[in-house]
Amino acid sequence: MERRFEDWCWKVTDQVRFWPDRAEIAKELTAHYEDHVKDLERLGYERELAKQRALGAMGDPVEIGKALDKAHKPWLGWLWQFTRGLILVLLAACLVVYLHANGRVNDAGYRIQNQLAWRAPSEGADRVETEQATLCLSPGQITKEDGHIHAAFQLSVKMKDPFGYSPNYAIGYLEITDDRGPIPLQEWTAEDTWPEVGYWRGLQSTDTSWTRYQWTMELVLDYSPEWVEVRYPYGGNDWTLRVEWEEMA
Amino acid sequence: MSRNRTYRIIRNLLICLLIGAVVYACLGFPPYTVKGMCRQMERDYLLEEPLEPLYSLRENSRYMNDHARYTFVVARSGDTYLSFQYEQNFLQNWRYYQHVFPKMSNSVLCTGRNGVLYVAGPFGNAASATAQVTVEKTIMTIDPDTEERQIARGPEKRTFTFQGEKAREDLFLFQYRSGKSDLWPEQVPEAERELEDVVDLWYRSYLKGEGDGSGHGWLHDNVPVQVTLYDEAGAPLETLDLTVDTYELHNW
Repeated sequence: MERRFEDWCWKVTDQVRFWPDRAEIAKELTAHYEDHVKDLERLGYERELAKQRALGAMGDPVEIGKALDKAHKPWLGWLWQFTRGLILVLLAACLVVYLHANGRVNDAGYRIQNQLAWRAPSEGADRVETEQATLCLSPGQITKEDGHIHAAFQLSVKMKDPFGYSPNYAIGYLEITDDRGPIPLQEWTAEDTWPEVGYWRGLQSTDTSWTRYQWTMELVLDYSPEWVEVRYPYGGNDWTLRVEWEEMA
Repeated sequence: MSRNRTYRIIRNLLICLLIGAVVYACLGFPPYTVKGMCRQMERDYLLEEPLEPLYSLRENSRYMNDHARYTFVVARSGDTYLSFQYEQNFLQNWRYYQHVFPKMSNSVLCTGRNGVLYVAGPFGNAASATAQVTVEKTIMTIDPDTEERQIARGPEKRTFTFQGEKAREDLFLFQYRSGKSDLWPEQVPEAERELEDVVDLWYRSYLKGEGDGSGHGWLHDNVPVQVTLYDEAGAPLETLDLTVDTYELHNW
């Protein structure tokens, strides 16, 4: 009798084209068949007779198989399997990214931290609105160190979309001018040393963020400047931001 | 079953979308197309006008066990010309800052990469161009005790002339590598040395007291490049004085 049920079951599942579901279908049919057998046994049927009746009540295997095939559409089944596989692939990609991203994953943490570290520029800061960002320039302190004047100022950049690194390389192209003329960016001299005075440089930055960046820059001079202008004349831009130190000097 | 499975598919796709977004964000939103790279450059260089690619080149690493794929782009945003390179490793695609670094110029852009000198600018009337690259032996000696550095320039000087190929209206390419470059320029006979061999040998730094046979570093220096533009009749139109960094001319 067991053999007859197995044959019946095989005929049913053979109709189902989406073969990964066949084992599950067979399991459900077996459970249904066994429940029916037990019910009949409780009503006083002999076991063999109960099995025979239960099998008879299961119906035509080909008809049932065709009905099950309609419910277990192959394209839906394969699409489901594909999405399961895709989740596994993406989880594996997550792992690979985590293991080989050279700190890029941690970068996401730094970006969030720096995003929150943003401090709104002061009310009187010079401001310019461009397609890509809102930029503000605010004055910092003027101090005297190692016999030179260090005049600090801060550039705040609020980007309009987060899909990039950071505009910190654009910073290197800024044209800086003070009340006495253009100031060059601090660069290695031909002798492979840093210049002592007469340059501007970046001091601190929050350059790993999502949309908000702040750079503190300073002029290192042998005089106290009255003002500084920051100009960026590239790619359709020609904005200039200015800060004055008159009150602070 | 169908309804149950449809629900599961939608749920799985949403999970995929979420994981994909997390991976993409963790990677720093890497762009995979030239257009995407240009959009990222526009943002990172705060460009107001759209960055239009003039030339792009994709190639795989030349070295074994290095599966990186490089995309080099020369592009224009209004009157500004830029060149940059991305390096793709699996899902990562980062801007490259080692031997080929991003360059931006408001007039004429001149950059070297892998045996080709790229000169981009408003060259509408020019039908042909030549480039003269002048290299001068520049050796730096570093005293390891005092860290004092001394630079000796010359007397060796050499000028290489290359004929340009007009890639498009605003871009000339100058091939400065005739064949497969030798990785050991010392072994190339002097008469056969090409620009990158000479740059390799002539722009070096040594520790004081140690000769050519010991370890050395390579110097960054601006090498003068004089580009002359010609009209269709072959008459010179303009001469441009440009520079290129020694690291751009190296064969890495």
